[in-house]
Amino acid sequence: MLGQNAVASDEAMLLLRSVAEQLKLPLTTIARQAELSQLVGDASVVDARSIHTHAQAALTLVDSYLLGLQLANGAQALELEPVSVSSMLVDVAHELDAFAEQHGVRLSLHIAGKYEPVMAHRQGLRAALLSLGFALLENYPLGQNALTLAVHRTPHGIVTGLYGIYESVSADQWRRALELVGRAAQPMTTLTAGSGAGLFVAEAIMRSMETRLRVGKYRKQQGLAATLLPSQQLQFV
Amino acid sequence: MSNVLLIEPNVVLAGTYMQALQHAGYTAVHARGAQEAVDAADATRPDVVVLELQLSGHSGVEFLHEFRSYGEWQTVPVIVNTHLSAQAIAAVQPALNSELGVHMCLYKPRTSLQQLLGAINQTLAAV
Amino acid sequence: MNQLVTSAIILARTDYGEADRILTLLTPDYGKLSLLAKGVRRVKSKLAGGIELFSVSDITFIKGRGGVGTLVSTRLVKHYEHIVADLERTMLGYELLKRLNKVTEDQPESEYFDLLRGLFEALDDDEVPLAVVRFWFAAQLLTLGGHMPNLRTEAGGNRLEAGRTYDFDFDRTAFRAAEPGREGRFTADHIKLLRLVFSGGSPKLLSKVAALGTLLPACDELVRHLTVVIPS
Repeated sequence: MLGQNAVASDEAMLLLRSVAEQLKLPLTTIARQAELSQLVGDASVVDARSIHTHAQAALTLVDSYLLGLQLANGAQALELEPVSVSSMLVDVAHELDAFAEQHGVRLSLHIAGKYEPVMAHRQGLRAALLSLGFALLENYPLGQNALTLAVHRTPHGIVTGLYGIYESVSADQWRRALELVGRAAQPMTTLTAGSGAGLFVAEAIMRSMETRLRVGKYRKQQGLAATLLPSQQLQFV
Repeated sequence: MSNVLLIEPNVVLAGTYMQALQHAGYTAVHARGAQEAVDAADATRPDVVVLELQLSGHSGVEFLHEFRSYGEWQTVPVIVNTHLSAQAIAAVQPALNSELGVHMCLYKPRTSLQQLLGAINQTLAAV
Repeated sequence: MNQLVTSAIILARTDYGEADRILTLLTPDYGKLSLLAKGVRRVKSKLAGGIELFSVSDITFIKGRGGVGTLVSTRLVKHYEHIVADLERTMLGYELLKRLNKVTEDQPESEYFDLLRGLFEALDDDEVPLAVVRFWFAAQLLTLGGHMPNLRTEAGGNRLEAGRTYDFDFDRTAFRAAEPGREGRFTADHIKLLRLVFSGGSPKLLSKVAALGTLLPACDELVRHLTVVIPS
């Protein structure tokens, strides 16, 4: 029975991967059409900018999911390299900016001080932070309007994550949410209204980099963050 | 006015690219598949080719080999604009560049119209 | 005029004049042929129909004077369509075709046609890893070119033993027992894999060898070093 389930599960995974690849096509079409209407000044397409932004956000989720799969099953080598978290956060904030604006949320960047690079899979870290960002922004709590991208140092390493003013976010809720992925319609209601897939895609990518997303606090805000180890390489230079 | 040969299997997406190209002042021809692209190249003498590698029937790589086997098309620049991820083409990108004269590879889901037009401008300026 | 019929695999196509193309084909009966496809205008040239790459076709041709014959007709027998469905397989196919074209500049025997067909079969099977295809192909080229390594006895003449490890002596194209207290790079399992590939074991068979992932790198490196003697 376990063997049969495993086989069925493998087949389901392959099919899901195929579906994810296929979804890129209509999403790309929507994004490019929205962009075209802006380019040629076609006023008949209402809110083309928003359509474009949301299509690109969806594409990011699909790509991040596929990347997570490839890293997990070894199809893509986990090549770790020194990555500047500060620069990465600036880049991620830039990418999230239009989406945040459309959802009435102001993004804040908190990069106090200088941080040595961390050993990470560059593309994976970026994908994880973006997936996390889009998921949190999509259903941002009413009345709140700021999401913070932050990096700070702890005795365990360099912590980077996204934080906001949420009613309550506990480690227990997050642990249960990870168990409910794909089973419950809303595994993590305190952070998202939907399935919150972006949260779990981010978590999957972080796991392949031997770290985890954990519930964290940053200056009275709560969110999800990962601890990354500083690169030792540059110490020898 | 430069001629662009767009090889794209999806007609809706192709329509969007064609409008963008024409809006930018290019003359553009669309082909859905490899043989149609060879025919179109013969009829229109493109200055640059924008190519999706994943085609129905014969692939974009097969098109490139056929295309490059003709004398006057050996130096026409080709920009690959594909759904295949960077990781998927990583192993073959050096050969695409050196053997088949691919000028640059773009990842279609993340390449905006502006970026594609910029890539075409840049490629034609370098020729 | 005598029309001849044979199987053929196309190696390359080039322009000739205003409206003709020259096809370079490998055949089992006539070796390598250069045939003129007359009056084939570009607008009619097909990517399919018996002259596409990664295909075996039956061709009818007329032998010409001075080395270039004339193609009369083609009929597609088998097109290895799975090769072109995968980018890496396609590019490896093109690379090895080009290699074979270069290696067979002199009149090749019919075994080269069989090798090429075997290559297509292997590339067409996505259960055969590309690294195995590449390794197998290089070994077959060495064999056909008469450059097989000695896989039976050491450089000194002693039979290779199962319990010992060896290094490879490229000057003598044979194994040499590792120095006492030192572990040689090649074990009995490595040598068995090499014997299998040089005795014509198919890529499919090779891909089923136990611990292939461990054995292949050293064996592949050995074959690549030996391949330096073949024009590439």
